[in-house]
This record gives sequence, C-alpha cells and structure tokens, in this order.
Amino acid sequence: MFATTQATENLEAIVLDRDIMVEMEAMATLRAEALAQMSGLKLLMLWNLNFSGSLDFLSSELGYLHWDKYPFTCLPSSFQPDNLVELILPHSNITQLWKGTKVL
Amino acid sequence: MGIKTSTLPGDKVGMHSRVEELENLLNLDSDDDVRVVGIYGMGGIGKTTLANALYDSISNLFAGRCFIDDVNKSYKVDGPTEVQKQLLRQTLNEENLQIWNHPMGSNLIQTRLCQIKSLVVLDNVDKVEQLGKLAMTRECLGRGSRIIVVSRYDRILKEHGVDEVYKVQPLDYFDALQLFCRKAFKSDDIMSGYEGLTDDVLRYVGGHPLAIEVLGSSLYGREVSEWRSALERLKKNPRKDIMDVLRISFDGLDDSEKDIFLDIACFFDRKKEAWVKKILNFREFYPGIGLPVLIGKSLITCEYGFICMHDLLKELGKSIVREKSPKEPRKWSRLWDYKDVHNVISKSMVK
Repeated sequence: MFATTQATENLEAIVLDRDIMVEMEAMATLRAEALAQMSGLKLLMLWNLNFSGSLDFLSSELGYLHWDKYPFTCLPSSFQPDNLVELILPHSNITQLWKGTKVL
Repeated sequence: MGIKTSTLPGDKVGMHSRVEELENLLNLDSDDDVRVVGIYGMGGIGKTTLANALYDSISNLFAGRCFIDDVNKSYKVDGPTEVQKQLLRQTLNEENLQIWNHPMGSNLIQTRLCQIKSLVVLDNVDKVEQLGKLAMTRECLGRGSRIIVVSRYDRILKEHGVDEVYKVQPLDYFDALQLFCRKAFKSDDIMSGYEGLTDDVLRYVGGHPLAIEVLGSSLYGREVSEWRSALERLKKNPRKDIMDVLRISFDGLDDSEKDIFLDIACFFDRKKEAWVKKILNFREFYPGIGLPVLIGKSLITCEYGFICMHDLLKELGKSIVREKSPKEPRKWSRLWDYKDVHNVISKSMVK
C-alpha cells in the first residue's frame, strides 16, 4: 500500500518544457498515485514522463490539463472537472473519459 | 489591448564607446589571421546589447555573417547538430541546407567555411564543451574572419583559448543617469524636485543597466514618498546585490501581477503571447491588465509575438518561488524542472 507522507498542497502549477531534452534519470517511471496528493493543482502540463500505478484522484481545482502520453484508459472517476477549461491528451491510452456517467 | 514591442533592454546608452573598444580589440584592418574575442560580464550588464550593437556596426565588412543568440538554449533544446546547422545556414546564407548528423555538420564546417571571411557571434555560451562540439576551429574559417564568444564566465573564454577578452563594465555615472532618466522620467533630464533622490538611487544601484532600467521604470510616475521608501530598501542592501534591487520592483506589483511574473519566470519565457495570455486568463491573473504593467516596468518584453524575460529576472522569479523552503520542492507553488518533479513525486510515495 501507498500512504501519504508529505503533503503538497501549496503546489498549484506544474509545467514542464516540452523542448528541453530530458536526461536519463528523468526517464525513470513515476508512480501516478503521487498526483493524488496535489490537492491544489490548477495547471498541469506534462511531457516526456512515464507513469505507472493507478490514478484515483485529480484535484478538482484543475483547469488546464495537458498530458502527453496519458497512460491510463480513463480519467479518475472521482475527478470533478468543475473548473476544467482545457483538456489535451495527445498520444494517450484513453478509451473513455470516465467510467459511468458524469454530471457536467 | 495590444502589447507594444519594446526597444532592446538598455537601449543604446553607453554602447558607442564600448563598440569602439571592441573594434580595436578585433583588429579589423588585418586580414592575415582569424581572431577570437571573448566578451564577458555578469547577468544584466548588457553583453547581448553590446554584441548586437557590435554586429550592426561591423557585419557589413564580412562576406559570411552569423549571430547565434542563445547557444546554451540551442544546445539544450536542439542539440549540437542544430547549432551547427544554424551556423552553416547563416554563414553560407543557404536557408535550406540540411545536416543529418553531427559528423556531417563537423565535416561541412571544416570544408565549406574556409574560403569565406566570416563574422560569427556566439551569444550566451554556458560551457566550454558547447564550443568544442561546434567543431569550428579558427583554421576552418577564411582569412580575416572574427569569432566573438559571449559568456557570463571568463574561465570559459580562457579555457577555450581566445585571443582577447573584453569585460563589460558597469555604466559610468553619466550613462547611468541618462538611462535612468529615460526610464524614470521618460525624458533625458531629471524632473525638478527629484535631483537629490535620483543621485541617491544611482549611488545605490551602481552602473548595472538592467537594475537601472527595472528600478527606474518602477519609479516612473511615483510620488517622492514612494521614492523614499525604495531608497530605504536600497540602503538595507549593503551587499549591493543586484537581485535585491530587482526585488524592489517585484515587491511593488499587486498580487495578480506577481503571479503573472512568477508564471512567466518559471514557465513561459519565449512562449507565444496569445497562448500565454490564454493560460494566464484561465488562471484568473488578468493578463490584459498585468502584461502591459510588466512591460511598462521593464520586467518583460514582447517581441515578434513572443513573451521574453531576461535570464536574471527569471532567476529572481524562481528564487522567489523557492525561497521559503529552498530544499523542499514539494512546498513550492510551481514546479518547472524535471528533476524537482521526480523528487516531489518519489518522496510523496512510501511503501
């Protein structure tokens, strides 16, 4: 099991530069569960990262989500996209946005 | 609301005499050899402005011309082959020249440039290897060619083995005064009633053009009392650290403007203005109001539709994001570096 050890609630934006060549250590696979700890995240733009594990939660503050190679087949079913303005998932494994129905 | 293209930072104040000094070091009358001259100095001192002014002044003397404006970034983004491509395309004036790999680039540089008297300016070189990988030795270039290497670090220039080194000095008092007046009063003269204050401010800022520009712009249209409080801040800065001077301007911004400044410093330098505006809008930072304010305060420029921020101001913004817990990126408001993202994500997971 994974447990929270350190909160990341100050974090409001992660934007990686797609143009920067990534060094080898950055190619290591990351656990997607960590993103669930970032409860205040508003802006998320990811490139060149490999994720594994599962994603059960994404901040409902999230307004702009750009995730290159989103590795999962759907968005977390708990995700409340109340503030979502743009959703861009190039090269993703998405088969359906949500499991079940969603009131938007 | 449109954003006006601003002039180059630092305008041209103090450039004329510096360009002349550099022309002497370059020994332009001699066509016998190839000379390499290095320009160095701290961030914000005006190296790029000077390199541009020099290029404008002398490039017509050369058959081949090349100005690579950010060698460090080009290496990081595109790698050595792309830098070689830029060098060859500009110098040979062949826009469509193709290079498929690094050996081919090195080969072309060693064979195609030797007949051409060229001027090559390499701005913002950060590591000596960047010069090595370019594979452009002075023997590759035609007689009378000149190479100018611009860097923050004089050791890079020495390691590379340049013929002459030019250190960009701070502005002297009169140039500093002129630049300051243009920014703080939008005039060439001190506004009456501000003589003593201007004198005091300049004494604390020194001749650092970026600091003069940023502080001067932030004082434009301000009351005497606001000048006094800026001066108080300067007096508490015994180390005369340029970052502390730039910080005064940041502290004078309102909350949304600060957020815009930090977003641009961390994420959006040299990105398209329309795209940046869209994201800042969604962030509810009011870019329609904030961006013109930051431009007016010389904290950003908008050139050819791209938002630009000086490296030193980016460093300021990133250090502000880090300052409360420099070693704990998980506590920051913004993450921009792959390494920090890895650090945060790895540490928030424990088996």
